[in-house]
Amino acid sequence: MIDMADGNTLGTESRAEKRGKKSAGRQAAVFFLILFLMLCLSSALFYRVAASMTDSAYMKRNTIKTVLLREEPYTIDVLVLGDSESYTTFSPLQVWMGSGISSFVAGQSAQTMSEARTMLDIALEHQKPKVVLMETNMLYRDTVSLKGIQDSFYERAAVLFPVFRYHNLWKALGQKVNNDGEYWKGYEVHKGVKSCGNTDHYMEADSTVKQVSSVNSRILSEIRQKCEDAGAKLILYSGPSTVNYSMDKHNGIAQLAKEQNIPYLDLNLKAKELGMDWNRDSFDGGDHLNDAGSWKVSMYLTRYLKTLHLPDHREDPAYSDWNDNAQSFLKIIRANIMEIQKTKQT
Amino acid sequence: MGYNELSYLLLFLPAALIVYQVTPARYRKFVLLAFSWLYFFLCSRLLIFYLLGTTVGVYLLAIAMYRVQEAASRKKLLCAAGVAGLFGVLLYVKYTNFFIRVLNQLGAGNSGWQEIPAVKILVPIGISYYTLEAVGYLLEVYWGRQKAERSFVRVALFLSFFPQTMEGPIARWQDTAMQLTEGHGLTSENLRDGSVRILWGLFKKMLIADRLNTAVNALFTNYTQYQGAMTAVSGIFYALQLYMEFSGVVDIILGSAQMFGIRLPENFRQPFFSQTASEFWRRWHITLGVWCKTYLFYPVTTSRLTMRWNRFARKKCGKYVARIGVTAIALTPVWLFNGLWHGPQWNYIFYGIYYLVLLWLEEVLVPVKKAFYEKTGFSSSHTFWHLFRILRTWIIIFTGEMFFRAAGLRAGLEMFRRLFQGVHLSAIREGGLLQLGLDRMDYRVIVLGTAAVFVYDLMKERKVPVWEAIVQKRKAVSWTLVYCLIFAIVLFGAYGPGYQKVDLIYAGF
Repeated sequence: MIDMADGNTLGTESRAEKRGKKSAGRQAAVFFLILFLMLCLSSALFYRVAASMTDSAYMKRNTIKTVLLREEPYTIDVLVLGDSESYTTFSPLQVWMGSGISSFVAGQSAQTMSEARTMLDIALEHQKPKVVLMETNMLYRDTVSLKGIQDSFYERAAVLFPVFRYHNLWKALGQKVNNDGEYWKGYEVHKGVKSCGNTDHYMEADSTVKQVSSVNSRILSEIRQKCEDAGAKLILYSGPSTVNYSMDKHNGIAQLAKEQNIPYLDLNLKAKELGMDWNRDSFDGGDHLNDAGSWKVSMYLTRYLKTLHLPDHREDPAYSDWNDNAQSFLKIIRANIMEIQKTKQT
Repeated sequence: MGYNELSYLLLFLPAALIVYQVTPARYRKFVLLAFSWLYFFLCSRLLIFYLLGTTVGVYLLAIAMYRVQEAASRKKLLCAAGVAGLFGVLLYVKYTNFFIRVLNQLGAGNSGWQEIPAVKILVPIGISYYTLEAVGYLLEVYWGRQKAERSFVRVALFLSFFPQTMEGPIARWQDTAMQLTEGHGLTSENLRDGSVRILWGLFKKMLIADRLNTAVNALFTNYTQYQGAMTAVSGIFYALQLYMEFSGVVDIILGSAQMFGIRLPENFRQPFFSQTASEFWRRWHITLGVWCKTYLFYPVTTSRLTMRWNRFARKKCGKYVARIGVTAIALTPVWLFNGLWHGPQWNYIFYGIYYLVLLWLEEVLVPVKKAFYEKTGFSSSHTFWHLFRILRTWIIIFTGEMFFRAAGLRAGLEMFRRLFQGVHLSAIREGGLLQLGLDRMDYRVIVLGTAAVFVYDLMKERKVPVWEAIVQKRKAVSWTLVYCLIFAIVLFGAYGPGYQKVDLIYAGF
């Protein structure tokens, strides 16, 4: 009897326990469902606000996304992706003046490959570029360490819930927002000068190969596929930078480009042809180019893009504001280059 | 992989919980150990050999000590060898370059002195924490208070349990060892309470500490540009940042452990309600204080030398002198150790001496305090006096933290000198605070966040079981509060573009 009673009690407890567990599971599911809905709702709200804001004081490095979304749909023929090396080496309005090719730099400071993939997705929602130029410095951005994995994870989370990316926009509540900044189609103006110092070992012959991480190779392959699907040609290019590039990196990128059948243009190997003056063409000692340096690179890239037979829109009335923009831009750039040329070597 | 990072919170911890739960109870300790070693490996790679070496060494030494317990001298020798070995490794990895620097400074005046080059030594994560735990365990076995543990897994888990690896709390064997290997299944209560505690920790770290970091960096890097009120702000901001960061991370740690049903010792008990410096140290980094008290203070107090001094001084100079003498003898190693434990910098050593002097003075001034209370009728429970004593302790804390954070002792002394220059609030009123990389909105978040923490701490101080009370309310109330906490972190947390990633401060010690 006692055994049976105990057995029954145990059986009852076990059923009660099971019921308790089931109920806890249901509650947890409801809790997370509500949380998911709240995240979706807040994300939609913040995304909407972000899509109308280009004040970099609040948008920080995401400003360029809104600027890109503000471009007239289906007007961009060349989309440039990359980190800060992209928007200091490629000048869309200069390319426009020289060729009538419409381009846009959707680069961000320290852009990662996964961010570049997201940026491409955003661009493809409203644009149909014929060429996607990708600056290669980000191929060597860390992905293997925990930090790299985490950055990639954060990027995925921010794509799913944009509230993570734009959460800081609450700061703009009740503040004066400046949405009228000039963005020169993504190019960043710099007139400072800082000599690169000794460049004897820059791109010195070296047969070693610095491998690109498998994560970045995979993302590059995804980007290539997305470009193919969208009817765009992916081209890799390395902007001149004595700090960021070396021969082993060139070898690594060239090898990867060959493997994935992507054209690759390393302008570090053409520094002489471009006429780079490493005493004057950088504003931070060789890391990034100033307006004088980027002028030379953009001239070369204009010639290169012309060979791809992209349309010249200069006479197209739909692009009339590009001509106005280019004139204002030219004024500033000319003044800056003159100033740079007058600067004593530092 | 800091405890506040997504990789820990959304990948590592959930993975550990799932694998732990699906594993049969008797094997769960192995799961915890595997994840603990994996965590260590992910943070420090091959330096895990330091941890493994320590674990094997401590395990074998404890058993050896237990076996020779009849032979007191051999037991003593084994214990001394173990403690010396453990501290030797800690000294080697953390202090070699400090000693080289000191030798070079001393020798710089002598002709013919050849400068000793610095050595590149990689420091494994958490060595300062697990070394203290290992020493504590050996001493417990040596004193016969604990039996030598036969289970290698238990010893290994005690020294490496992953939530504790980076910032403690520094557990004593009797605090955690048994719980770690019990292998209880996860319960919804533990998961819920642990998650909420983690969220509360993230709230403190991400809203307040990480936001303050920008201003603290500006104040301490450019300290020569500030004086008076702004220099005082340096100490206040850093003390606030450190409390929010360290107690916040400890909340995450304790919450993580709680999810497995493991109760780690608390490390904070509302330290800013302390009325004296000594009370502050009973409420701040409690486990370091307990370790020092258990394994340094008591052994020194009961040592033959101290006893002899006590007898001698009582006879010759009276009880009072004997007591302050004993206090000085016992406090000196504790506070020198406390300073040195934080790292090889003179300002840390100064920080230890600063509290040594203050705590000793507290003891010296006991008769004065008594006389004052008698004359004025005040007592420590008198509201005005109570508040005054709290404010006085704040000044002590802020000054101490200013030296602690300064870029070296010289910078600390210079900041202290600057405290008394241009003492007026105009620098703050005229927008000095807005020159530190934070805008008005940031300060609003800091103030509101700190107010929330203050209210929570005040309720805890008054023994109100806050979370328990919330849980007992209707589900709608508790859920709303948790959603508010989550969205406060998501919206107002200092992360993403415009903010620097802030490494865990105490993981560096």
